[in-house]
Amino acid sequence: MKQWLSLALGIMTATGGFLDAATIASAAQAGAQFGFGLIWAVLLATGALILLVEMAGRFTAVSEKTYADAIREHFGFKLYLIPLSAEIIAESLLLTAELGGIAIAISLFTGINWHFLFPVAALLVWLLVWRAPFSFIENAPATLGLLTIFFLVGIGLLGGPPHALWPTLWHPDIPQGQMATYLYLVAATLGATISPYLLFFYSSGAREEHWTWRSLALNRATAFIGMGFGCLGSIALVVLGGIVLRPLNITAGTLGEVGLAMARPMGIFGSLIFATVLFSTCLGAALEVVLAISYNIAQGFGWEWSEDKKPVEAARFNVTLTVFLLIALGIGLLGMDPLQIALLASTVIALFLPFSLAPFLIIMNDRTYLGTKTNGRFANIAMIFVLMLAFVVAIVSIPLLILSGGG
Amino acid sequence: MVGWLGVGGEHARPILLFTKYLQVQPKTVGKMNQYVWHVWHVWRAWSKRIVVHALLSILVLCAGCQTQISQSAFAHMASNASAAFAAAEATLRYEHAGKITSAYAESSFINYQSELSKLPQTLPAQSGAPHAQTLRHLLHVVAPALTAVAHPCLQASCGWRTQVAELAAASSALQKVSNS
Amino acid sequence: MPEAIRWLYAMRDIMDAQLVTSDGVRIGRVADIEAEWRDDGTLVLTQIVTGPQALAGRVSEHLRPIARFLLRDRFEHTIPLDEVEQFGPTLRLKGKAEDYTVGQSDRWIAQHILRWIPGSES
Repeated sequence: MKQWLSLALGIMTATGGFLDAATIASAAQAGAQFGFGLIWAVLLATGALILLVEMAGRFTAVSEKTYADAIREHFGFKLYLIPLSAEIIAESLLLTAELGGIAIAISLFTGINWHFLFPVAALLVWLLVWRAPFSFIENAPATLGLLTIFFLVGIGLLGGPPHALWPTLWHPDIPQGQMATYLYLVAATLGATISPYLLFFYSSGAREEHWTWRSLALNRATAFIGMGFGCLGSIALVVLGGIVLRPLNITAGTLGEVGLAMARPMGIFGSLIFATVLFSTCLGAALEVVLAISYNIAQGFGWEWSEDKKPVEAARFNVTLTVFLLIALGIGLLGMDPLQIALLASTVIALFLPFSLAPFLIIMNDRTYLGTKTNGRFANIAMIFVLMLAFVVAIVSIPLLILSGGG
Repeated sequence: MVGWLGVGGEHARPILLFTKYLQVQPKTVGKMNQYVWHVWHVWRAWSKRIVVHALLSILVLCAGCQTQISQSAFAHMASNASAAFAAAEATLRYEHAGKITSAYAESSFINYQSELSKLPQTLPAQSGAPHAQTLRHLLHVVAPALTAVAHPCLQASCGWRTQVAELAAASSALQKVSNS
Repeated sequence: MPEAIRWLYAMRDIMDAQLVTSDGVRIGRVADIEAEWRDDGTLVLTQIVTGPQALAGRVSEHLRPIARFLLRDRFEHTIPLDEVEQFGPTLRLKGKAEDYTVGQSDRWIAQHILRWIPGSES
């Protein structure tokens, strides 16, 4: 029964994984530039993600092994290095972007330049991974992230979307010269949402929570409700962008601008709710990213790991966490805009997406790990479709990035 | 795709590995296999021609639709700057309307500043820039807006309404020039 | 004696498997397996090898001499195969964590680096 309270794992994975600095900005941007024209991409990404998250959870619950364990054991060390290298590069960049997001959120409250708050953000994340047990890490950002509900309140207070906006849902209005940007946002939405780090984190989280084959129903519920919640938040931002930012010719190039969409219906309270959501989602994302890459390395090399263990009991794992935070601090001090870094990270992730997801298809059919719970025909076909999508995204992301000038 | 790796020789069965995962009936395997072999033979016979034609068509399409699917670098930068000025204007108005705190506004302006401060240097250098006279006029309209972004007036006493007007003017001028 | 299994496959049941001691501590993964030619002509698996040199050798044989030159066998450890109680994706070992040199870097880091950082012990 206590396990059902841990539905929070799914909501946290969603809050930190689905919604983060990059997706908040790109959702608002999508709404500001194309109205509802990109909602289908968000829904498609959510569908793919629910599939992958459910599979990751099922795999770990039944085999009591994580995704990284399975990649190393099934494919050997050499092939394991491919997703590992991709993850190291991508997560270092993404972690920097998320720390930047935390810094910007605190800056929106205090008015202090976010560059000075960046080390504060890094320290905060380090303190949490160093000292806090997994259940706190899981629950705290998730609880704050529930404030995303207020986005829906904001939409309601604005009277809902104007009539003219609804047709863009099925017939996007793409002005001359904007097609590359539109397609780029589609690829960015798919690539930023279907991030492999989510799977490494969720799978490891399932082990931290000691899920077993009895947890399969919980896993399914978590995948649907958690990712569904994230999707709702994302769509709410698209709608807010469409209603408030679009008429003002604002394109959400900075994170603060997105808060204006909440300030219009709900004033100061609305803007600060946005800043809180930004803070909690970026904090959740930073925690997930740094944990995901450290879990990946520790599990791949067979070290002791767990957030519930004292640092001295899992020394190499905790050193890895610290090293990645230092790397992110280093990149961040170079002063690049967090959204630019997030863009770079998403492009790297998109390029390697097929290689990070392909192991799944094979592992989910392995009876040594899963016994009778291997993928059914539907799951395999859906997985193949997701992989093809990943290939397409990988191939088009760099050309589109160049053509659209960076969105 | 998984099944194709390791195909070799005339008698290899590429589809078999694939079907293990999909759990397809043997009868269907036979039919699928025949189909795959047919496609494979056609591909081997025609591949060079197909690839060359496909590449040529893509090149032609790209050259043709380049102008329709993306903007020039100048238009792109101008339109981003226009949006940033619009955001600055809205932020200033909201702050004075009591919809956001001064801390929020201050923090936002720091970001607008870092986005826009180098505009007078970088914008004229972009490809697709219009001739010098238009540029001069544009930068003339943008200059006071840039000062406003660097030193936004967040109290009631200073000339914030002028700043709002300057920001709006810069935004619409940039918008117009990026659309032309 | 190892638990009786019908068929034991080196790649499936030993290679890259997680090494877990009898007190439940994860100490590392199998990087390579040493085999020995016996006088009666049989090839017998004798030791499990862990360490960065073995891993480098898995990636490419050309890296092995380079890794040996840089690391000088300081991080290579072996465990005799008869220490293994159970085979599979996880290998259960007979002894406790202190009995094996594999995984000693965890203890070394804990003693020499982490104790200087507050909060590492509680």
